[in-house]
Amino acid sequence: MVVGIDLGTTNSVIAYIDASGNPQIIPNSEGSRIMPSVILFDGDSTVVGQTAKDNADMDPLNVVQFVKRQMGNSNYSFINSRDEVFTAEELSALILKKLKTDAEKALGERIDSAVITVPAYFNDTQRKATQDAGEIAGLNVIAIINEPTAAALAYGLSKSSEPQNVLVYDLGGGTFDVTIMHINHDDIVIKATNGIKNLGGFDFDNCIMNLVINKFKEEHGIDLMDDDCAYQELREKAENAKKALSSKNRTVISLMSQGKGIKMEITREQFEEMIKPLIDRTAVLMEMVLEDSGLEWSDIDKVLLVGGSTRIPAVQEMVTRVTGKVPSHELNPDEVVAIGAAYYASFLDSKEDPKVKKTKITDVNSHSLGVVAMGEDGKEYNEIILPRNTPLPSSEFKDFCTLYDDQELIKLQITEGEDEDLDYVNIIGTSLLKIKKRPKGSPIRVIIGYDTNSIIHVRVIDLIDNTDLGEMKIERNSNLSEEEIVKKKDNISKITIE
Amino acid sequence: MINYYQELDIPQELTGKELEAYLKKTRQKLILRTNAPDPEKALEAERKLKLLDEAISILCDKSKRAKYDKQLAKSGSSTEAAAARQPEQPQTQSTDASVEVLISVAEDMYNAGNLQNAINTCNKILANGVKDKRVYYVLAVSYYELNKTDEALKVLQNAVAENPDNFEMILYLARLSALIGRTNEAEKFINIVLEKQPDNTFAYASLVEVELIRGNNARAEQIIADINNRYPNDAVFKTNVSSAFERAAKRVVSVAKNGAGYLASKQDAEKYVTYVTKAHDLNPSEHMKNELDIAQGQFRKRFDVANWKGFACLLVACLLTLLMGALPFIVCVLATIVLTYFNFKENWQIQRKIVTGKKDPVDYIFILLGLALVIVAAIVKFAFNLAQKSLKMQYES
Repeated sequence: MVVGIDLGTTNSVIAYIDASGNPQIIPNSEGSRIMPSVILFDGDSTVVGQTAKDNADMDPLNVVQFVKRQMGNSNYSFINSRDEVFTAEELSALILKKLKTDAEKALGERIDSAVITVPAYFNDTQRKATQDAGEIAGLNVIAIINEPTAAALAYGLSKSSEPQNVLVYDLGGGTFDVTIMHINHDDIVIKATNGIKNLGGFDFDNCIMNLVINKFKEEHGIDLMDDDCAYQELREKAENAKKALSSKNRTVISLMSQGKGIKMEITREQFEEMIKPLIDRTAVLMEMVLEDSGLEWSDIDKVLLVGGSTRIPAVQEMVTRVTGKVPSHELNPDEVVAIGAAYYASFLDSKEDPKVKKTKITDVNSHSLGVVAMGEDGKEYNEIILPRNTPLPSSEFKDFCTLYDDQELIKLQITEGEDEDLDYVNIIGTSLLKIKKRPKGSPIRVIIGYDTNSIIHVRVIDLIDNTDLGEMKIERNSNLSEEEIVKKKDNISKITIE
Repeated sequence: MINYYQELDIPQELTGKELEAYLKKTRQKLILRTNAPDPEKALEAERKLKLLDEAISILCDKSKRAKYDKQLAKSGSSTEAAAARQPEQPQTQSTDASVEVLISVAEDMYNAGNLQNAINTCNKILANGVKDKRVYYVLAVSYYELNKTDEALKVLQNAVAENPDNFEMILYLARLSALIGRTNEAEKFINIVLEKQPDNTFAYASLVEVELIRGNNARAEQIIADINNRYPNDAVFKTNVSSAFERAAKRVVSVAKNGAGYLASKQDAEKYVTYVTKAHDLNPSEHMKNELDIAQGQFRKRFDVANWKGFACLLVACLLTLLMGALPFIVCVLATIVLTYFNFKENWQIQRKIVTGKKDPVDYIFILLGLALVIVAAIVKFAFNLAQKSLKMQYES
């Protein structure tokens, strides 16, 4: 049995394709189709899902949320009150394990393989971390695919007879991304993608929370930030208020802390005004992605809305205004990604079956690749060689000069990011190369290639005699080694999740 | 009072469209900066974004801005005091950053075809005493595209006059002169460089490019042979001439791009492949190998497919007419031979996917021609039958 999993920042969903070819969401043991990506270490037991979220008020220090934001961050670890240490991969594995075991119970069948989705702009480390999380949870991860691609598959756009340009606007719980792709039958070509790592429903909740916190401070002089339990409760109430404001014009939040309480009304207008600067940022990114794709708004045939936050009327209005198209949201925006992943999983699973044509997906590099170069002013900066949103596989080069006479070494640092300022980019590989002694200013060519397996090849050439100075291969750098994965898999398999 | 100009590196003299473009650019940059790997840097970007939102609401509104500027001037003493507190801090750092953004605004304006604004912005940067190669270049090419070639040349001449030892700039000037057809001048500039640096093979490479622009390929070949004799194995020369050929190839493509989006004639297509081949032979790097593969591959594919599809469609038309009798069949075969001959001789087109994603009309033309032939044949056959019938009737009566 193969499944598709949307491992989200706030919620996760698991789906499969049934015998008659229809997508089905698999409800968990509590009977809900969408499971909060929340983990609670409660005494000796480990709880994942709604129960964890509900009980989070009682024990904020033993609750983990928004693990997805930490994926690929090797410095992150969570220590619970049992003094057990977890990496981001292990925490995600706990969520995946809960989805897997519940689904196995519901279907009465063993689940061995899965397709897991990630935001389009996730870098290789983050993708590998997601894959490792799957392996640790005991799943054979047959593919990691981009969420917007999954959404397009779910809408069945690859079955349409007309080739079309599709924009996917994905505003979820914690992340935003926007992707433009060209779909022609089973050929899906990603044209451009971009995203904001820390923008989503969570931030909208924060807007409401700040409003309440300020009011509380004003009326009672109490800072809710100091009261962990009240803070957690406020988060939950803010989320509910936000959801209510998508259908109602006003809602009420009441909260108690240290014996004092308030009751305040929030209107939709008030809410929309607070989130406007955040939504406007997504509009800026939409324009940027359109520019990167080389298309005009009139070329976009379909706009898909993905992610729970796209239920907010102000978001839908903004997307309609910017794109000039009424966006499609026939499918449940919370479930659409998991359904697409399930379709893709079943495609891959039936690869041997010649009747099912395999969907071909052409990707772009979602982050620019470059090198650290020395400017004329003697300051180091990021020189982009392979710009973002270039179709893969691809290779580009730029020529550089040696800095002084008889230079013997060059330090090659490969960067990932858009900014000239090195503070805002990642250095993903470093190597020292020996070069022949030449006069100052001798030309050296750096070629960066990116293949379809996401392996980055870097070659350096001495242009004076056209010799290779060296080659460097940056594979998906993983935070965990093979042995660590096996060991962690063992540890996680011992944990019973409720 | 917050000084937005200082906090966000906004040049105070910017107004109107320029200010809007500048703020837009800064906003895009800051939004992407919220993705910074270091959470503190991300928070700083977040803080600046909030400031920018405020700044936009004030600075883009004329009356609000006037009021704000007035207030700022009043509180100027305090900002001066703040400046006095940190005299060590080099002024250049913040201005450098804003100049960088201004230069990129200018480049963007140029790329967007907003030439007059690009020129204004460049002139403003130069007036501030910043002598940057890129500014001169953008200014020059903007003038060039507005057909103000004299101004364009003047800009580069000024740049050269300011720094007569900057041979790169002189060779830039040479290239621009060549581009606007003043190849003789270009040659003169190159000779200036060669007089001072007779071994500057970059300059010889530029000379080759001048000849290529003149369309004097034989002369270009001769220079290449000479230099190869004189400096055997000079890789600098080879790679630069290779680049010149690559640019020549791109020129062929860009001419096509401005037109139908195709390399419209076989000559152009052949010229393109020849240039890329030359570029590859001179510098057999991986990049050039790729380019060559693409060029040859597209050329072959187009040729084979066009042949194959054309013959197939017309053959089917012939076979269909065979069912209708001998006369339409003969007409159809003759038409096929004539059409195929003309089509392949002159007008077959090569589509470069890199240039455009448009479908090649050739594909459809063949199918339509095939259909038309069948219809014509049917009409001929029908008319012939009718004539025969009436003849027969006449004969019988």
